[in-house]
Amino acid sequence: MKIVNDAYQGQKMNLLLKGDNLAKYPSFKNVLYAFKKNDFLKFQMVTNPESVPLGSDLWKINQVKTAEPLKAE
Amino acid sequence: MAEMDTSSGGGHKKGSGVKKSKKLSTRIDLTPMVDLGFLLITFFIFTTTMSQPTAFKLNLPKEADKPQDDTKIKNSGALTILLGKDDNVFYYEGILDPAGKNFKSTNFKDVRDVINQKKHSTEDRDFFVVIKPNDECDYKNVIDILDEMAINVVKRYALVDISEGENQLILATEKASTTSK
Repeated sequence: MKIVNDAYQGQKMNLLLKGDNLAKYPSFKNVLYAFKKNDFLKFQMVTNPESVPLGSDLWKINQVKTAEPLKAE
Repeated sequence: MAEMDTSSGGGHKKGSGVKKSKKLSTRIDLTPMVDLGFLLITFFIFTTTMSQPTAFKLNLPKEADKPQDDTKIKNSGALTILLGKDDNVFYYEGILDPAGKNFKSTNFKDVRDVINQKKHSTEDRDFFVVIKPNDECDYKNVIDILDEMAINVVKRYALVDISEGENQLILATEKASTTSK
């Protein structure tokens, strides 16, 4: 992480974490630990997109969000 | 090309006086169908977009230097989810009972209901989910549980290291369930 940090000195980095599904948690934990140690507290985790389950809280919020612009029109 | 055999092979001899029916060609020209097939293939190649991976943001909190800087949560609003091997999920509410009475087992299918139930029975500002994966748990399980947080709109949650006592409890439960099978 230090080498990466030095290479990108002064520039904003976009950190993406991509893991194998079968990887064990300790390997992921160690990466998080390395991020934390180097003060990289914001990063993104790459996942496969999945549709929001019907009836869930997130789905309800999305429904309200999509209905609001229609009402405004 | 598909072609039907229209030659007479029945062995019926036609004598004089039998009216000979006019034979119509049953040959089917498949060229337009092949053209249409290729047209459809071309259409789908140009219109389909490959599924692109998405990324979700994760912001880690800064390590608290002093114990008093640690995030304080109410016992009544805390839900601790423990992740074990083979997609096993365990949970308890509040503080873990020394005898493990409030230690319950579930799976990824039902954990949504557990979170939902706790969320709706607790005040919003008190609700807090503590996620504790053990060393046997997969990366996929961690992503799945983080996904559940997003699906259930859990605003406050934390990934915390599992304690030795909790880990022992998970191992004992997993061992008991495998021997009972």
